[in-house]
Amino acid sequence: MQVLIQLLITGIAMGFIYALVAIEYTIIWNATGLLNFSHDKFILFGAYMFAGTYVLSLGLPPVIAVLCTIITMFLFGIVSAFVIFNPLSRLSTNLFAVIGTVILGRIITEAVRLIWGPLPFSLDGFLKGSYKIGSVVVSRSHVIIILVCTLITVSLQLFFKFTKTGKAMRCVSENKTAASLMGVNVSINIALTVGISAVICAIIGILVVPIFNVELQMSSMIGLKGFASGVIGGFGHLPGAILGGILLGVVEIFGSMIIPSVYKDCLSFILLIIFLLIKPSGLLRDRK
Amino acid sequence: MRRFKKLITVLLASSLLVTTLSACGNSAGESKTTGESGAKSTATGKSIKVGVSNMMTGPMAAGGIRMKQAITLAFEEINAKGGVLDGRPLEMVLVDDAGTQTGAVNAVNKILGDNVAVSIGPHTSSMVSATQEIYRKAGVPFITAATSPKLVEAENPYFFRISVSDGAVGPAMVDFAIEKYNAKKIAALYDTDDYGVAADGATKSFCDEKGVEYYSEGLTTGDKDLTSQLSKIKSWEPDVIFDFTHDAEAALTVRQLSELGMDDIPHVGPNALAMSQTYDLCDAEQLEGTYASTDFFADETNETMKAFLDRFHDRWNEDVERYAAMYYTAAYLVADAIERAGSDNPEEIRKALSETKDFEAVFGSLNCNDKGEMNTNLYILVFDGEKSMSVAQ
Repeated sequence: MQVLIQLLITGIAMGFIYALVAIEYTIIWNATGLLNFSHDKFILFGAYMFAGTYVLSLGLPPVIAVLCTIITMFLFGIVSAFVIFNPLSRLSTNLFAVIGTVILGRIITEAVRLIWGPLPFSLDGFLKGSYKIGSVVVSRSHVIIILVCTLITVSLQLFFKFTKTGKAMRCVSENKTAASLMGVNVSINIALTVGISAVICAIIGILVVPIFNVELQMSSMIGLKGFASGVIGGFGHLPGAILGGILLGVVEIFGSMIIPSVYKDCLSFILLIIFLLIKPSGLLRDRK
Repeated sequence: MRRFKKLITVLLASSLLVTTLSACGNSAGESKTTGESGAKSTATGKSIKVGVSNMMTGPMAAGGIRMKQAITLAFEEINAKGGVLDGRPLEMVLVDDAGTQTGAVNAVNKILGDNVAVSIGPHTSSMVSATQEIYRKAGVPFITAATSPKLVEAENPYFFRISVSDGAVGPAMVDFAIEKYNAKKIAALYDTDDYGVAADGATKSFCDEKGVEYYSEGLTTGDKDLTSQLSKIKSWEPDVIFDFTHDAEAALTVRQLSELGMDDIPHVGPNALAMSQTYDLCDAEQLEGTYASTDFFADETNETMKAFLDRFHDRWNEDVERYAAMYYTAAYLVADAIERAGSDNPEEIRKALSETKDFEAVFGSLNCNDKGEMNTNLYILVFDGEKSMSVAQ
């Protein structure tokens, strides 16, 4: 029983990470109609910037380092929106934009390798430790992942529903021409969206630092699984992305209790293929 | 459209630039061979050629540098003392194998074309399995520190190994667990590659022999979340946990064992955990009390080892690690075998190598068995709270 509870918490925590990844690229998809293929590299960049520069080189306390990383990544997002997403999303075919984001991903990876070096490292003592409730041991990092992710999803929903900027962003994702006719500045809107997406990426990167090592491959698997959870939940649909992420995290970890754990990753992708074959619109998409 | 073209040009140019720069970054590390030049040779006779297949470039280049430095140092020392066979110096025929299988095949062919008496390397198990038939055909013995237990299946009389086979590591760990913790149930986490599967298999059959219950869970290289494997192990309630994994996963195992509240179960890690690039990834507190099994440990309390560490540091201004210790030993073993054979004939040297008995290496004595395995000196190290290690067995 305790093992089940422990696994459930781990599953939900990983699920929330996948959900955040799905959210982060879904908002760009909604705003620009582009798939950001460099999204997992944004996560990588955020994690390295936080751990490598702000904590290890500059020696800032974690809270300030988190703030600095968020601000830097927001600016990075804005810049890449003006340089890549905005011009590319206006082109006749999406193919150019796809290639553009793939290349952006390569540039980020190589830049990370040049700046911080190829050797992996870790942060001593950051979000370390565990809570003991009876005989169930819950790691502190998993609890924090669940709390932070819930906070982000709720505040994003509130932002989109109740603020003027949020409403404008939803307008842009519905119809760009109509939005610009109504006086919404589409390019600034897209820049803001990419900025927010980059901030979410940075937060994902920071959250996985205590459970993974900081290395060049750290985000590739969560990137892929985040993509899968978006498809499972309903592509381009935010609540669907969250549901898909948590479902994937939980199914994956409980599935590995039945089948050998080595095939854990296969399970996620089998689930993705099943959904593509049977219900391509995803779990929640048809409500729209 | 013009704007787009401009953008793509800039993107391509910068990605090119980044790639070139990163290539430069890789090669920068290689030219770092500092330190004053070595001792002068006093041997004057006709030199005896010793082939060295060395990974000077490629993914293993860091190890290749140490390997080259170690052999160079050993040959300088031997030649300064008058060489072998009454004044004949040893000469290194150094060829780059780039750390790949094709590279190794080319390198070994080139070495053999140079009529060497005996050869050292290549280093990795995959490179050895690609080249050992070439050595057999040419009738030239070679010494390696590759660790895969599969290599002896070729029954190659020209194959000599001075590292401890992965197949021998598991049983030694089981003996340790029984002796120290009176273990009845042992669980293991293993990488599902060549190394992990072999180690897991050897440990399983040894446990069956000893009447110890054994349970193992696999993982794939690159896995980040080991919770499900470790939870399954936890619910099985083992007395001792082993892991047969590589650098990144070994560090993750230490961390996630602690996160799951499994610190109280003794944990014996793989040789990867005994290397600084791995244990630097772990938290000192989480590492405390963890064991690591390895065939190399820079034990400063051992005089022979200490003297070697100092000499190596004086010559190259670098610290000794596993590569250096292994191939320094290989170089001395070559000299010893030539001396015992009394000739530079490869077949005679092979015979001498196969008769190696009580050869004193920096890390212990070497004895050759009928499969060409020479080393059974395995350390079990234990970490204290400050990431320093001491010998537990």
